[in-house]
Amino acid sequence: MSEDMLKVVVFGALNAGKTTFVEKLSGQKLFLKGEYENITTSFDFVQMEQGNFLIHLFASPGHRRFSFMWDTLATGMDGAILLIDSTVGITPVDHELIKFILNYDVPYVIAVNKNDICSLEPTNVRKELDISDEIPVINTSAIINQNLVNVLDSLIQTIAEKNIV
Amino acid sequence: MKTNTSFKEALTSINRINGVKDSIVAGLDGIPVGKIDKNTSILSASTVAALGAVREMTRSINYGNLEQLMIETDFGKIIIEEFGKEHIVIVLTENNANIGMIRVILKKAVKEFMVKLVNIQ
Repeated sequence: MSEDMLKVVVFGALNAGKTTFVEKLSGQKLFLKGEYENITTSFDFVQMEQGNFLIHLFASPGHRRFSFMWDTLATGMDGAILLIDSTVGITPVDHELIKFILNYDVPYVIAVNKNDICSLEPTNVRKELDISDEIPVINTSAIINQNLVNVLDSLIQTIAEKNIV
Repeated sequence: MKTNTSFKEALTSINRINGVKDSIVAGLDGIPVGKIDKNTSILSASTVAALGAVREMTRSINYGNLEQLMIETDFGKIIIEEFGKEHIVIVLTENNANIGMIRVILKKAVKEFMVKLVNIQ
């Protein structure tokens, strides 16, 4: 087992595809799947190895009602992935989540999900969220496993650069 | 990036108590300290989440600070105690365990953990 560990948390609005994202990315049954009627009410959790790291991968609840879990899940995280639902576009929750992640001062990557249904231009996402060019914005489709590993690798690279591994 | 540290010695005193099945230390990030396998990872992550949810509950109804969390099942009790600013200890007990004794020894063990933490830092 890898000696170095990373805690990565996937955030996103309701129905952005966070649970599918962590399921497909890890390629295994989740250790914990905290859902009720297909809505994550607590969190999802799985471990995977990637790039010589043992990744502790969490997905947060998207429903605003359970947002009190965000802080608990964000504690000690090394990096974050913000999932945006491209069929809905940028929502107020996405703006809120960007601010939330920025408060933790950790590297993050934006995954513009559901690219198999609808595509959002990363440039427009960047502009609408007012984020710098240094933040990777990647079109993904969790359901067909498109670019999920790229998202994680980008994040690992950013974390590694920050920590000068 | 996290480096794993073992609290094995300090946990031995808890595990010796009659009725204690197992005990582990976890960070408030939900990652176990010491032995990492699927079970300890699940226990750490879910316990920290439960602790966060219950803390939110006591805060929202203005019912004081959370000191200890105890979960009762038909298998036994799970005692969760936070210590320092970054760790929790989780104790799994048998149904017939002497909870009073465990809580006393747990408090003593928490002090030992604190000393160890200071030495590490």
